[in-house]
Order: sequence, then structure tokens, then C-alpha cells
Amino acid sequence: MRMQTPSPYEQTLGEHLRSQGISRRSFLKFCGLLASSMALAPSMIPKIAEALEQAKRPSVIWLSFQECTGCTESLTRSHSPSLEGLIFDAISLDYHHTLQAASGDAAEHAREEAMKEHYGKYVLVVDGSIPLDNPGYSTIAGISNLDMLKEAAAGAAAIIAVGTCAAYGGLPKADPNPTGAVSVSDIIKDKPIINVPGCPPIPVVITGVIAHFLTFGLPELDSLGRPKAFYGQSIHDRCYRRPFYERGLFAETFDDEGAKAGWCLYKLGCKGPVTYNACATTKWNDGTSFPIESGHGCIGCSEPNFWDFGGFYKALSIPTGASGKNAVYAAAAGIAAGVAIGAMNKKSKAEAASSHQTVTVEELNQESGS
Amino acid sequence: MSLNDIPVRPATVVTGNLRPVLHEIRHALSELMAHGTHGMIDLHSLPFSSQEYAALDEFLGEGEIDLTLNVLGKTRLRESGYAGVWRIEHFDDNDKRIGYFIEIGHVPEILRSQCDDIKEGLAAMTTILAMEEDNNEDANT
Repeated sequence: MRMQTPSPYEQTLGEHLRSQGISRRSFLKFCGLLASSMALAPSMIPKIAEALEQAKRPSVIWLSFQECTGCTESLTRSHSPSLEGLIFDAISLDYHHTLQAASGDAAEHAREEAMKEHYGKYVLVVDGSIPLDNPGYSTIAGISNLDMLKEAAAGAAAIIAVGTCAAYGGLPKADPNPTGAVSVSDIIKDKPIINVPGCPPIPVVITGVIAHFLTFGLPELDSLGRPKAFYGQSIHDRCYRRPFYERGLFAETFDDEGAKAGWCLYKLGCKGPVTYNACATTKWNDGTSFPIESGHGCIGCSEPNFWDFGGFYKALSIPTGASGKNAVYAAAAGIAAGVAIGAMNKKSKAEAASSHQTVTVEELNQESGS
Repeated sequence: MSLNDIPVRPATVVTGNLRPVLHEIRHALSELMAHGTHGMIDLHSLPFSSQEYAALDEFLGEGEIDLTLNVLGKTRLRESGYAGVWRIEHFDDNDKRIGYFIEIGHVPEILRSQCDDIKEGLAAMTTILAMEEDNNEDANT
């Protein structure tokens, strides 16, 4: 009997993966890894397998505005066959002006066709912020980012704001925000928006959110619109160096004995305690490590306004400008305060953001004893 | 100069997660005995130091079975010294470990033949046997 091959849009994800030579055992492995990446209980694996098997391949329209293409690089540079690669290959990416072969009118025609054919059903992915000061700051095919976003959002089932620029304004919005950059959620108010911040976001988090949307619908979000499955815990909570923090063992410079022994980087400006992301568990570069594991503090890139925190190398509980012994006292107070430190850090973060002091070479080489 | 020449020697670290995981395994094993419940623990997203991984390995010990599957990269299934407790390690094509589960059951789920595959296999076998019988009948006439 000859089986009729379904058209790509009628294919389920399970069918698509099998047509790519992925066996059911491989599919089960894939679902196990997916559950792990989404921080779901392993008991959810059969449910994910069942839901993914039946899910239709989604049409995805990807719009890039004021961005550096780092988010796309993050996703496409992952090694294959990676989990994120498999999911990314399983979607029908109908428009992405950096990746697609078509250009000019043909590219824009592909976008318009996809929007028309899948109106109300497609997933809109946006990376980059939107300039409001002057529409001419960023355009695609002569269309302003604002107009293109509004038009594409109207027919989307959901919007995924990928990267801190799309989620919160990011680097373009950093003080003094010369283009009047805003986030997707500042403009679109009538569609579900899932923020996937990070500079760039972890690739499997980007695809994991798409997979979650396909299997279980909209994920549960935190107060900043981020999926709790990936952004539910702080870097600090999951950091393997946390036991050193608890014991008050800190690196004071980037090359002292504490740094060589892998002690906590809190006093070197690590923003782990106020940063919510999955880096400490999912890691980067094929699971090799994450910044703290490589000896550098977290810079807080998945948080709003992280460029204006007051300096990547300023310890969190230290008000901008404080250094030397004050840093030691502030850190010690932080340990003693326990949970209260979170509120303290948020306050200092806000203060730092408003004062927006620049970082000097001396601060980069800060030594607590100086 | 190799990486080993760089004078970075991480101090011993204890996350405190090993003991709870060992008790979770024991609890899952008793559930398997009492109710036949299949259990699974995802170790990949737990903060674990290399020392704690080593201690876990030592605690679990080695059993009789050590299998490697070729599914989207390698997957290694090892029964521990405690029957019914399995280590499942998933690797990518570059042999990097991308998933690590402890599974508590008679056989790891991924090893079982999948129902849909059995169904398709049965259909294929039935078709082949029918075709062979048709061919034999044709040859005999």
C-alpha cells in the first residue's frame, strides 16, 4: 500500500521528525531531554511525547528589529543534532530576513503570504527593540518596525519576544536611549506575549518555549512575562559556587587564590542573586559551562535595564561609588541578611540605574583592600 | 602549555543535594516494590559537584548490565548494584553528556519496544508473509 505523503502544514511534529529518520526511541530521548530542559518532572515525558506527536508544525514568522543578530546566532550556532536544532528544524520558518534565501520583494511576499495563509495561527517571534522617536531609525523594506510589528501581531496566535531588546528594550534602550527604543509589550497589548530575555537567550530556552506552546499552550509566566520553567529561579539559587557564598568565601580579584579555588564572585560584581535565568543548569556551548563557571560574574543580561545597573564589576549590595572596606562590610551584611538581600539588591539596582555611573579601569581591577 | 598547566584548582564543594537524592532513590525503589510505580529522577538540572557525582556513582555501584544505544547520539544504560536502579546517560554526537537520569524500574523506558513500532512491525510482517505465500502459490501452479 502506498501511503500518501501529507503536505508540510498537515504534518504533525512526530511525523516530521520520523520523516527525518528519527526513530521512536530517539523521539523518547528527545522528549526526555526536552522535559529536562523545561524543568518539568520526568513523569511528564509521556505527556510531552503524546502532545508533540500530535502537534501540527507551526508557521513561524520571525521579525528582527533593532538588534545585533546575536539571538539568531545563539540558536543557529548550536551543534547538531542538538535538541534546539531538532525543534528549530521541525517548525515551518516562513520568514526570517537574515536566514532566508529570498530577498527584497520576494522575501516580503513570503511574509505576507504566510500571514494570510495562517492568519490567527502563526507564532510571531520578535528580536530587537522598536524605535519610537523616528520611524526611519530602523526599517525593513521601507516599512517602519512599529508598523511591521503591529501588522504581524494582528494575526498572531502568540508572540515570543526573544532577547532582552525585544523583551525589555535591551541595549538600544540603555541610557540615554537615543532612538526611543521600547519593548514589544510596550506596544502590543492584546496578544499573549512570552518574554525570553537574555543577551542572547539560551538556545534551548528559545526552542523550549516554542515546544511548550505547541504541547501545553502558553507557559506560566512570572511578573516580567518570562516562563517560570526557565526563569523561575535565580542564577544564585542554582549556582554551584553558592556553598562558598554561604561560608563567606569570596574571590577579591580575578586572579587571587580565592578566584583560583573557584570561590564566590559576589564581590567582583556577580549579578546572580538578582538574575533569573537557566544558565546555571542548562549552560552554554553544548553544555560546557556558564559565565560563572568560566570565572566571570553574571552580568544580569536577562533582567530589564541590565546595562544601567551601575557597572558589571560593582558588588550588588554596594551603593554606586562605594569600594574598599565598604564592599567587605556590605558583602558581610548581605550574608547575614539572607533572604532580605534580594530586596536590598533590587533597591541598589534601581538606584544604580538612576545614577548611571560609568565603569573605570580602576573599578575593573577593583581590590577590596585598596 | 596545556589546560592542565593553568593553576586553577577548584576547592572541594558540597551542594548538599546528594543525601536527598539518595533518599529519593530509596523511596522510588520502595514504590516500585509496593505498587510497581516506575520512577525517574532528573539529575541534569540539580546543582551537583563533581565530587558528589563521584560519591553517587560509588554509592550506586555497578550491576550486571551496561548497554549503549545509538539514538540521536549515544545513550548509555547501566544497572546499578541495586537491582531496579538504572543510570541513564544521554550523549550528543560529540559524546558530550546532555542528559542524566536515574530510572527506577524493571527495565528503562527507552529500552522497551514502543507500542506503535510493534504495531507497524506486525503489519509489515503480516504483509511479507502474505506476499511470500502468494508467490509460493504462483510457483506451484
